[in-house]
Amino acid sequence: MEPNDLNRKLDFITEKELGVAYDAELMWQKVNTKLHANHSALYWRMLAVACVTLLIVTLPLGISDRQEASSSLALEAFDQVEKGEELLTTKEQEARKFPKAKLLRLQKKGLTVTEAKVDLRLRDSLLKKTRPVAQQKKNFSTKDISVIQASLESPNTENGSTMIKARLFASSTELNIDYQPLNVRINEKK
Amino acid sequence: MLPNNTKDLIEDCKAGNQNAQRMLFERFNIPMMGVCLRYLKSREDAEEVMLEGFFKVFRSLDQLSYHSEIAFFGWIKQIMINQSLMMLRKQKEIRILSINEDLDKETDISPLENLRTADLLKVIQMIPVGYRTVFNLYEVEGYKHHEISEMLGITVGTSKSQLFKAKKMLKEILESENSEYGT
Repeated sequence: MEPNDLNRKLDFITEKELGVAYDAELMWQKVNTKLHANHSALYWRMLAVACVTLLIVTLPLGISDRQEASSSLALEAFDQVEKGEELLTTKEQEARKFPKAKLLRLQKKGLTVTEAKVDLRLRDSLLKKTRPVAQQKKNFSTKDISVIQASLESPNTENGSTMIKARLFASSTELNIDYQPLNVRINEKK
Repeated sequence: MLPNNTKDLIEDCKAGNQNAQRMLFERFNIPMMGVCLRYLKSREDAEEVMLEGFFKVFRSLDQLSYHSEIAFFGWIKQIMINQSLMMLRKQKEIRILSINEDLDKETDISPLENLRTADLLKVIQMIPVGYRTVFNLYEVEGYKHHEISEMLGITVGTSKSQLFKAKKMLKEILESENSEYGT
């Protein structure tokens, strides 16, 4: 593109030669406003993008952490409930509580290890609560009985059976026991 | 204290110095207004294009490597021309006209060179936008027809026909205004 006479003339035009009323100051104000509005818009746009990115990155992590935390809390609660009953201290007990096959099956369903354990605990506890307790007839042997106060002098006879007073080892409670089912030898005081 | 040379002024502009930006604008706004006015129909259109053009200039300064004052002037002018062409396309001002005339027949426009700058601009603004665009690109900026055809999305033949018509019309205007502009 070689500059020619027309080009030279027109490129070095003066304000007067433009032939139009033109407010350069107002034009500059508009350019300047647009430039800074754009900077501001760019700043807010970048900030918004950063926030969204941060949210996208941290949200799944947060959910996972929260799930993990709630699972842990649930486990602790179960632990508190069962504290008096038994403590999971050995691997054997752990394995008994959480059979590997069941854990794997639950993990395949998309649960984490902790969630699977909680699930198993929950099922276990529900089963325990709903399981009917079988009535057991217990035969006491003589070694079970620490005190026999068979008040044979004045036996308590009701409905054709003879009641004696007995106290079991590891218990301070005296029980009224029908001696007939008891397979104990009672030496009668002479 | 702002620098007088354009290179340092550009560096200050890149650093976000508003006074430097203003000074750069003041240095180039008049010739750029002239560029826009010879492509567009009205002052309002020219101002709109100038606003967008200078906004692009300041936004693109970071990517610019300064070589010379002339090259920098050419760079800004090119932005203004592109912006003007965009507006013309938007306004659908560039129309394709078929002319059954000998397009290679030379039309003498040398009388234009004798005109004063203000009159020259005025005469150019008198011809229709389609003709004017090709005339400006070919005769004033020095582009070739194949370049113009790519810039405007027209054929080389159309570019030639627009130029032919522009020159013919300019000659008629000059002849009719002979007493004023004289050859």
